[in-house]
Amino acid sequence: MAIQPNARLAGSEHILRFQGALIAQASPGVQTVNGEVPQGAVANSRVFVKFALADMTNLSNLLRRLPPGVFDNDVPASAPRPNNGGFSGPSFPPPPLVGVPTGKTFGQNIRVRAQEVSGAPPSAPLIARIDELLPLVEIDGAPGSGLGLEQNTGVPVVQVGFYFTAAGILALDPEEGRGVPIVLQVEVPHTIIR
Amino acid sequence: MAIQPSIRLAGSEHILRFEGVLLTQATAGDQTVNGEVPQGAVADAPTLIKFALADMTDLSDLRRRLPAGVFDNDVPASASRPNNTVVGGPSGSPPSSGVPAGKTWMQNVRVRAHESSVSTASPLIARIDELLPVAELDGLAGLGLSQNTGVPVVGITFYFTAAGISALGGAQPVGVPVVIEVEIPHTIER
Repeated sequence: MAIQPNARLAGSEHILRFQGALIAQASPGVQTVNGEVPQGAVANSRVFVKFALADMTNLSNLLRRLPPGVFDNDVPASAPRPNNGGFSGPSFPPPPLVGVPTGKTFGQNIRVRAQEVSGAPPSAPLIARIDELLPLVEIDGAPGSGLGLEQNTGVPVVQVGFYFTAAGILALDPEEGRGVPIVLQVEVPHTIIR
Repeated sequence: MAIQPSIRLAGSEHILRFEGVLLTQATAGDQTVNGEVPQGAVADAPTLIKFALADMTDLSDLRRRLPAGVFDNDVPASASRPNNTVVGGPSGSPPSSGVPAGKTWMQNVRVRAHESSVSTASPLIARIDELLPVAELDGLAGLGLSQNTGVPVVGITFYFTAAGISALGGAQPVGVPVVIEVEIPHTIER
């Protein structure tokens, strides 16, 4: 089940919210849908889950929810389009190596806030940790490129590291589990206020 | 091992990031190095760890990573320099009944932090008091890192687990991996 971003927060031009349940993908392979968990996730180990910063339900009518001006690659408007060649983020490579801010300006400045919103008691969480401060950013590329959701849309895609508990891994199961409910907010600050 | 701030995020004038491992200081006493854990930390109890908002590797070539304009004590430029005697923060007397206190920039300090070890099977940190930082200016003994540089210093309270205490020190310390982001919003947008 994909999690698409909902409407902008009161018309915000900087923030997208994703709210729904994470479910493991039905078939193994690269993640091609917003918010699906790649197969093979194990408890207490990091698994990256990707979220394109757009509603990807209908790629022929792509609703890019954050305006181009948010991404400094489009400021000024005459600037060249971003390429698909690399990762960005406030820390690259991600731990256990010590990363440094890398890549596009908007990628370095992306802010993620996320939490579990399940009915599970806090003593038995489904998520042990979310690496909010260590997101990776890339531009959605062509199939086989390994970039983004491989839909070749050029939409920015944010990867967030999740650490599920053993109970969380069970809940992710697409046939038996009910999913892991989360709310995740991605903010791309305007470059003038970074 | 000290944790110095990395380069600014894409030229940000408000945010510094610290990434690395926390380790217990080699010699007991006031903390004098960025990100060292004072000796005597115990599990599940508050431990205040200080981070100067600059790379303190070479004090004779101090790179103050956030520009003066971020701190409203320097706005306008003709304003008097801040003194070194006040401790402030969004909760002046944490953890109980604290109210915002001190310089404006101190009250507005924002901290985000989490452990960054490769597995969550055995957490090393039980809690980080992100919303209860304390801020001061580096001064003489007991203020900041006691280096008398005038650099702003932010103290963050960590609660380590028993496994975390073992990782911090002991015979073969491996350290507690963390990532910390300190933001001081510009006063016009706080």
